[in-house]
Amino acid sequence: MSKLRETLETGAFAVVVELKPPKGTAVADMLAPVNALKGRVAAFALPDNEHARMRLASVAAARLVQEAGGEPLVNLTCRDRNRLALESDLLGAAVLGLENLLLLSGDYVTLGDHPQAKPVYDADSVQLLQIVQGLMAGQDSAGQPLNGNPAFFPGAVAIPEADPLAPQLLKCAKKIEAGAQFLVTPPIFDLEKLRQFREHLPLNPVKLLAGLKVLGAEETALAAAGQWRKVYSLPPDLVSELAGKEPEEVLALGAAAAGRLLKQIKEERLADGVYLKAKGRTDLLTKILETAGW
Amino acid sequence: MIIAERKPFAEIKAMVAPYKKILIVGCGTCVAVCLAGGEKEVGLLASQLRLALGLEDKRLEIGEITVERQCDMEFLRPLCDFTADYEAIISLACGAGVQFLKQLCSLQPIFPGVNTSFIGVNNDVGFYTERCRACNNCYLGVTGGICPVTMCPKGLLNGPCGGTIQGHCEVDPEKECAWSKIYHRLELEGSLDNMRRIMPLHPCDRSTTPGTVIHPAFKKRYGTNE
Amino acid sequence: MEFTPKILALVCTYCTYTAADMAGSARMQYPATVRIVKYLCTGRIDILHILKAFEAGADAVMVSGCEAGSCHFLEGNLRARERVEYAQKLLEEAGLDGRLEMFEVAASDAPKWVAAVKEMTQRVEALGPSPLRRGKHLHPEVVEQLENMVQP
Repeated sequence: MSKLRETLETGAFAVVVELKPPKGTAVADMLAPVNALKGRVAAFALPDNEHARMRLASVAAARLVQEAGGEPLVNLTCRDRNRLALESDLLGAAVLGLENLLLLSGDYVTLGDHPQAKPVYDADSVQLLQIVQGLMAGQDSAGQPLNGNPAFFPGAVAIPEADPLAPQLLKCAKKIEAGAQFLVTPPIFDLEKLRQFREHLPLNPVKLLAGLKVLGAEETALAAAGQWRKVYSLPPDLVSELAGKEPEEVLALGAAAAGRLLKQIKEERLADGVYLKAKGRTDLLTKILETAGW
Repeated sequence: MIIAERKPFAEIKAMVAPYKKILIVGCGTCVAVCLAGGEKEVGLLASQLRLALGLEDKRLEIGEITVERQCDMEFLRPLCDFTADYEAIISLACGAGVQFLKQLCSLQPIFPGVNTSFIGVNNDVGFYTERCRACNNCYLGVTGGICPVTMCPKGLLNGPCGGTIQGHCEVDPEKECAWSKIYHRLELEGSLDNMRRIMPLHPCDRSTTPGTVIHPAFKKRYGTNE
Repeated sequence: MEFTPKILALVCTYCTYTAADMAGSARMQYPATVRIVKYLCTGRIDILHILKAFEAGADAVMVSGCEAGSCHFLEGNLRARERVEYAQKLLEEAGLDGRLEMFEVAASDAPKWVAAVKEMTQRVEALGPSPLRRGKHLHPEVVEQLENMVQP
């Protein structure tokens, strides 16, 4: 059984740290947080061409994390692969010993760095969860039997601040029906929103990982200029605290803010764990954990 | 109907540069409605070409003709004799029409004068939007009359992605999120259960190109193996 | 050789034509560079009419209709403006910039008509003759054709 699954199922609080696979083959920076933090966190997530920007394959990166002694969480999007590729990549992950999956639709290609690429979306995230269930039960999406079944611990994304929320909740229910064991949210800054969202989730064993993010100077500037367009909101007082400061200071303050949120989420048990996005930087991650007293 | 946009003038001008006598063939159906390739646009393109080449002191003889539909041999066949006099042909029909016309006029090169955009609707004069991807597996009956394959850029079948912002799409903030609209329509209809059911994977094989449809009444005439 | 511009004015009978008429009766002086074609409404002007005028060798075309909001047919002048702007784009693509302009001249505003003709004449004098004219006069057939199109 995966360590992440074990952590969540025993009711322990899980800290997942997101790494930054490189654009290129230099993997040392990506792996630095693994070496520094592997004893302290539950898992390391490997984004899959995040924001539709081409980077090292998440399955390969996850294997490197594992070799470095970390517990990987492979992200897999529907954007770049048809069902054949999704399924064979999933089997590939399984034989490499990668069990934890975060399954997503994927940001649209025109928003990324290869805007002329062909968007695939042969499956959507619900169907991808079903594909994973099928593989675990020994058959592919065309109904053909497998020779050796993979074991996975699949999760999906949920959007607490979605507007409108109702269709999102409906999709969330489908993801759970299709076998999602845990849900990860986009970054949360206002815990009241998380609290409200919790109330909407069905009473079943699905686990919730709250997203936490260290804001960068560019994002802060966008928000200060009133041009923030994301699926999560930023509290005005945080934006005014960070706006106009030196980039490194913004990151340090942002890490402290994330650390305080982590502490509160854990103390009030607003989620079963957190998913930290801190540009894959060890110093920022360490600061978050220290602030939270982790 | 099929929506098209005229190709940039410079591109068309470059295509016909080697010729002295060309024929511009318009199409009187879809592309005429969307003001890209009807009789009027044939006249405008011909005039524009004459002006542009006149400025360069070149002579280009241009024939102009528009047929009812270039995607129909019945209307194309009468062109047969007519086209023989020309060195090259510009067709202002959609891609289907261009190919059908070339099938008839195999001796000259043929150039498309428009880029075929999509299957869409005429919102108002000059304003067209896409509605159908011709996926050959229509979902409209369970999605409140809004096509998720077309209206959602990702073609998601089981609800919105995580990118909806205030009911708008992550891909184009000007556009409403298709799944927000589908939800709203289904709620009004009282058929939200449609959306609660998990939709299976889309049968992409149904739209393997090139598609062929033989009407059931004509199976015998055309055989079923085509 | 001195260059006398040949400008084709496609005008609305309800406003600009009346203004031009009034300018004549009041003996206001303006360059003898325009040939006027009267339309029932500028909304009737087809882009093809404009392009044909240039093919025939016009140095410039001016379209002149009612002021916004006072079209006899409610919005013919607004449609004419959309068409003129599109025709400007087509002409620019073909290599003829700056030789087409839209004006708004109310029926009572003869001085504005005079000013418009002077402005267009100066502009054409600066641009020089249309390269398509090749020393010829405006092709009489085209003017006749246009007149036949718009008059009963």
